[in-house]
Amino acid sequence: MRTLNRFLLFFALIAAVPAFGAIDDSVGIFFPKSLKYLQYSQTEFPVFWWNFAVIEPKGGAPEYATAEQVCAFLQKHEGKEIKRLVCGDNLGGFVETLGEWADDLVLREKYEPSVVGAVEGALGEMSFLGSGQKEIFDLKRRDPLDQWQIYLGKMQMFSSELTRENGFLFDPVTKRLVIPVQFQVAPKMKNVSELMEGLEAFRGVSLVGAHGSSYANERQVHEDLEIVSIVGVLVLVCFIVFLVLKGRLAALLLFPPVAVAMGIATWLTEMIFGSIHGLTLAFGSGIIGLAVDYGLHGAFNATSHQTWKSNAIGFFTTLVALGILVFSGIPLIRQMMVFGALGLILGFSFFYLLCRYLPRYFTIKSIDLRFPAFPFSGVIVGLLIVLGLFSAFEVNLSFDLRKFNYQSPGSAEATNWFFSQGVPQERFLLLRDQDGILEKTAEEARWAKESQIQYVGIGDYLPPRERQLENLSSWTSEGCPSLKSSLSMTSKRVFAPFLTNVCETEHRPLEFADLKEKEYLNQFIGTEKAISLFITKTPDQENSVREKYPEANSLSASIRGFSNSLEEDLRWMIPMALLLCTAILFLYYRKPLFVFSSYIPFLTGLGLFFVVNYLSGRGLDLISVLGLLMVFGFSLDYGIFSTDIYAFPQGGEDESVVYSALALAAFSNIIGFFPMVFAKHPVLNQLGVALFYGTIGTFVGTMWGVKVLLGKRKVS
Amino acid sequence: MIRALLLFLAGTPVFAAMQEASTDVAFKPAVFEDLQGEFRQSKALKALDVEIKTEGRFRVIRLGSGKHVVHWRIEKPKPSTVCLDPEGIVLESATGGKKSLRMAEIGREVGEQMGSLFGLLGLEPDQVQKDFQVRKKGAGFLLTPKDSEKFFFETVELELDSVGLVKRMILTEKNKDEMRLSFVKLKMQKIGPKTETACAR
Repeated sequence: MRTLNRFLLFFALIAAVPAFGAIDDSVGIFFPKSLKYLQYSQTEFPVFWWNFAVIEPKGGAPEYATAEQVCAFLQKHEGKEIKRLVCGDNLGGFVETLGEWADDLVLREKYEPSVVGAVEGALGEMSFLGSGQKEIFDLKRRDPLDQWQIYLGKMQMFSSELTRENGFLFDPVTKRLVIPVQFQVAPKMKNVSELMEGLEAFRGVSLVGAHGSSYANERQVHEDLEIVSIVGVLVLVCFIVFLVLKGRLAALLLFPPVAVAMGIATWLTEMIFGSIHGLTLAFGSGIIGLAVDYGLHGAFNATSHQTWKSNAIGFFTTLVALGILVFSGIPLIRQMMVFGALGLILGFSFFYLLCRYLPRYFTIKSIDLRFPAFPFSGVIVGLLIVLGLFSAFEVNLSFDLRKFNYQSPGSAEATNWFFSQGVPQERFLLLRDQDGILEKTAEEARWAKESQIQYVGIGDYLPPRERQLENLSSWTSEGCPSLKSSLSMTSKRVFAPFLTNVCETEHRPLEFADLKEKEYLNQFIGTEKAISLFITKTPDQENSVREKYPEANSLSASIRGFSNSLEEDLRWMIPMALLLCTAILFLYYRKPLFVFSSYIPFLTGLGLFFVVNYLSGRGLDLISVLGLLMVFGFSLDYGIFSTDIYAFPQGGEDESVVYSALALAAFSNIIGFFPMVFAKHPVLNQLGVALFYGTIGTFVGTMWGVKVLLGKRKVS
Repeated sequence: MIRALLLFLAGTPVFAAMQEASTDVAFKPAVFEDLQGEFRQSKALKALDVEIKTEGRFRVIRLGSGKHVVHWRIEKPKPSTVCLDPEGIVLESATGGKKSLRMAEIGREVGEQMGSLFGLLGLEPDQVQKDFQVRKKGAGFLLTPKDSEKFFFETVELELDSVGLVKRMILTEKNKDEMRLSFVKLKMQKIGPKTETACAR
């Protein structure tokens, strides 16, 4: 029912949400405070926009033919999505960067008298340049001192373990070829669709990096959601047909109140958080959809005095579970829970008021659905409960963030290879403000060199302002006159662009604002900050960086810390939620048997989920925990509704009315969640598995657990 | 630039030793193991209206199995050295700067061209026949690449001395720039035990 509800709610949302503002689809909401810098760094600094096209070998030999085709294809996208790439014999998008780098020699280095000889020597090399090398010929005229080779040497930082063979980076061990590609657009599917679709035409080629990953994930989510949506619409149509056939079309009136509740919850959530994330809407709506259960229960069992008491207890216990998770360190979970809790409060309130004051429209004759006990049904329920309890204590929680990432099998292999080759490295990210940026980064570069730690940052490319002034002065006062007087006429003509740069171009020391304009530097520059990277290879080096720059963030340590803190959060949140819910149930029932009985659907749901998880070799991850939380919400409701039949028997009440309402709700869930089990994206799949099997288990516990445990008691 | 340098260096000694390259022209390659001499080179850059002149010494050592080492020492206007062997190229400037690049680093296209030119360097008649049309032109020869895409020049004119070694050559590039080379004091000798059979890296 909640799934059906979701689709109806979308109609309301389509109208409501645009009025409130745009839906957020950024990935920032995944990151807790401790990891905000990482997300900021990845989107802000183009140094992280390097991707790597990995070309698999064929028959144990490197596939140069494919690599050349891929190179030619990617070159067509240079200047569009791609800023530059490294493949083949051409300099491609590097020409302007290399030119700028060469021109800024006068800021970077002091003039030395040996320059004259070096320029004259370069004349000999110029004599070898053929007519087919115009690009390099022009560059050499601008850069007789071969500064471009120094720059390209610095660019090797990403692939120090690879050699360069026939114009491509090459791994001698696996025979894979690699083409580094730097994008000039943010890593989003819409930005790279055309390019990625073209790249997919090449067999055995994977794009490793932020852009390749974003595209693969977003596309898979879209494909999965498309299937889920189609099935959802079919389910909705079937449900309406079912209601028509049963003469219960009035049940459709249960959807608008939830839709309105969701619309208002959306608006309130946006007021609180500034925006609402698409994932909050997608998955949070499932939580709000729980409110339909109260409506179903209230409308189908309107005559019972117990109905709204049961609803109220179910509502409070669900609210407690959501309330605890509001303290989560992950902004997405916080927002989802606030959205879910607000929607649930509103939905519950609407149904209570509508059933109470408009009973004419919100009293529906029950649809008779019976599920009599069968041999060993009690044993099955018992086994599932034992398994659920046992596994809950034994299961290993795993919050590895990589599990959120979708990768096709070929891409996963290429990614694992690319990031695991060579010596294990740790990367430290250091964000810098504008003030004194050049002095600070120069010191970083000096210290890193002294400590033999690999450093990538502005300091490796540009000295501080004072040094720039000194260098510039040496070229203008000494270099230019010397070159003019010492160089031969031939050299002066051939290297005219170099001389013009040294003697006529007005250079001035670069400030922070200028750095963004420099092609060779702007990958380290953000809107307000700059970034430096230290790449360490030993624990001693790691300690040195931590000691020298405590503000530098270690990539893997941050991710480990995030996983650990999340695990610690959930280790107290889940028991706390259970404890509070149990306390509420004790106050309500005052008998342990009924408290236990109301937990039966959840425990059987948990048991079945763990059985499936065990058989499929999965662990318990964050998304599964979220799915189980939703299962907890509705399964406890089912437990309370069915336990109340026996705990608070109403004279003349037909228990089948309650069971039929619960069965209808459970079936709609099962059908609705079923397509998600086949989703390829791990997030949707994990959520689908938890919800689908959790709901089936819940249904088993509701129909045959509570009834078996308490059924005889009522008779007696 | 390195690509052009490689093509040039690989090609030049070939012409210095080439005597015959097609069925209608007399071609008797001199058999040598170690050839050395002096060169003078001038390259006219028409677009800049300048002529670059260099001179120095060269040496070609034939290693067998189609392998060779070429030393090209520019002495004027400023000293610099280029050494080419089957493994790659080493560039050394007078200021002490040294660059070493493996053949595979230079590019696939160049690698293939090098293979063809190494064939010429070894004076392998099959390779010469395969890559060039050789015709008599005046007192010398005119070589035209059969596949113009493979070479950075359109034609090469050769003039031979009495021994059959090249004393002058003119390479005409595709943009009509010309590279003129003359060779003097050519000397053939056997490879000795102290002969460097690889570039110093």
